[in-house]
Amino acid sequence: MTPFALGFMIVSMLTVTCLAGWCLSKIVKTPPPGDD
Amino acid sequence: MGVDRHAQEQWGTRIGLVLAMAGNAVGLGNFLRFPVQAAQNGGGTFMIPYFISFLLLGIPMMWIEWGVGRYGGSHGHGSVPGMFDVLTDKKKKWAKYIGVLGVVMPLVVFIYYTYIVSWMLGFSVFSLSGDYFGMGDVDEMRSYLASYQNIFDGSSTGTWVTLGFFLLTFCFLGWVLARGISGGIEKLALIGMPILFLFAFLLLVRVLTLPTMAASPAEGLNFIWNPDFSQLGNAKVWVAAAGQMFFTLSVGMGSIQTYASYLKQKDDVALTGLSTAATNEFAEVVLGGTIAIPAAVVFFGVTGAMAIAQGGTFDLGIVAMGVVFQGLPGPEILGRLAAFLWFFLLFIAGITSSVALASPTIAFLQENFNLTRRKAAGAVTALGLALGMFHVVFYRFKVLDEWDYWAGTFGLVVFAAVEIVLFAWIFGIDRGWDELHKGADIRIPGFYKPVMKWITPLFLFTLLGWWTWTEAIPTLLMETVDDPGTVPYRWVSRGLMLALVVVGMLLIRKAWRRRGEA
Repeated sequence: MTPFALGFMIVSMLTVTCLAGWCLSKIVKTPPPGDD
Repeated sequence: MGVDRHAQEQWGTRIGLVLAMAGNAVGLGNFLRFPVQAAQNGGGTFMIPYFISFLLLGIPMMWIEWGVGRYGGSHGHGSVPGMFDVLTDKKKKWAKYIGVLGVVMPLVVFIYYTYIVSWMLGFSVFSLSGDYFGMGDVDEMRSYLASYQNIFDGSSTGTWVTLGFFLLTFCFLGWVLARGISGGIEKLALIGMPILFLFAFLLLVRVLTLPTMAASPAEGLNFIWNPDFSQLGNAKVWVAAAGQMFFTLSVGMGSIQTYASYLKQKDDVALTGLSTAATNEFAEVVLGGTIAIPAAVVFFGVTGAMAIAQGGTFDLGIVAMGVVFQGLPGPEILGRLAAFLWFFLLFIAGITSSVALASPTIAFLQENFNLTRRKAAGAVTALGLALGMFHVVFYRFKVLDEWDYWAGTFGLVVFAAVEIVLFAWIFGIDRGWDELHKGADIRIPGFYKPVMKWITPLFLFTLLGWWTWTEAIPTLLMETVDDPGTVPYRWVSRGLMLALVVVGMLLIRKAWRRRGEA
């Protein structure tokens, strides 16, 4: 595997994993809105 | 009518909503279409326009569709005709008729897609039973699949087996749909999505620990991620990447809007919309890109895998993977188990998308014709079964290709282009921006406001123009058909789709007349 391909793959995978993880953790931590 | 329905049906939990939305987005495209597209379009080079499309097309469209859905839902509409009507403040009579695309297109895709999903259920069972084990080369496996797909050729599994899995899949879907939003669709997602991720992770580990055969797993990853920069100036690569973004996120379809219509007015759409997109990307980039192509490269080498990828998604996902699992080191039972994990993973990915695809039509019937959820689900399942039989019987005449192209490919871009004009230009970007931020748990970065008004529409119309010129017109004129014998069947297939559009428009007219708003 070329160094560029390896670096590109790692950065891409880490980015989408962190984004998904951040979103889901924020959803779990945020309380649902109260009813009107 | 509609208001009552929305008061009755809501998501049970927020995580259930996100998983159901992710289930809608994560489908066969993540595990089959994405690696093939990447491999066919320059590997790592494809990923550059792919990520740009995600930022400028996928994420904005996701937010817009969530916003349109929640806004429509707050006005008592669960399907796109009513949503488009209220987006124009009921001033543009044509808007609701264009909204027919958001009902008929997902219905059309639901029908043929569910037939394909039923193959995955069939192959899950064949994997456990070892039915195709012993067909150790690609040609034998291809014949086995072709025989399964052609119900008049009973040489592999027999006519009734194909029909049986088709009926079983539709009946299961009908049961889930009839149980409603929180009792059926959300529960399916809460059970199915963790299983999907678990199976994908197990397969990923198995593929990455394969010994070097024709090539190593690292060479397989290199095949996908190593860029060929000479391709970056090729418009075809950019169009392929933008097209993949549509398929993978299920935008331009109508199903996201229906799911979002069950939200309360103060529920967040900014964070949950982004979560759906991000979860889908995780499933696609991390899991989808690390299973099928690397496994095929290990067994067939880079050249062999490339040839298979050129053959399309089923050649890779069913034929090649079927051979791969037979050749796994160790006892045959482990190969059968891995094959089951793969095909059942695809079945779960497909079935959670199928329920989403059926939902707009169910919501349309409920809100406009006062049908109960059970009756509407029964009607859509029965229609799906009846029209699905057309594909089961005539599959060999490529009738499914017509529906896939016009409703599942070209139609998505047409629909999204109309939708973004309605949202950003007719409803107005300022109102739209405020709408997206009602109850929002995150602030959408400010640069997305001009992106939604200018960049995404420009991107969409460029894509639409390119596809119309290079693909849609030649396809419409049947210039790309390689077997002239299929032409009459293809026309019947198109006629059926057109008939559904006409019936849909007549139903919209009838519904609006009943309300005295025509």
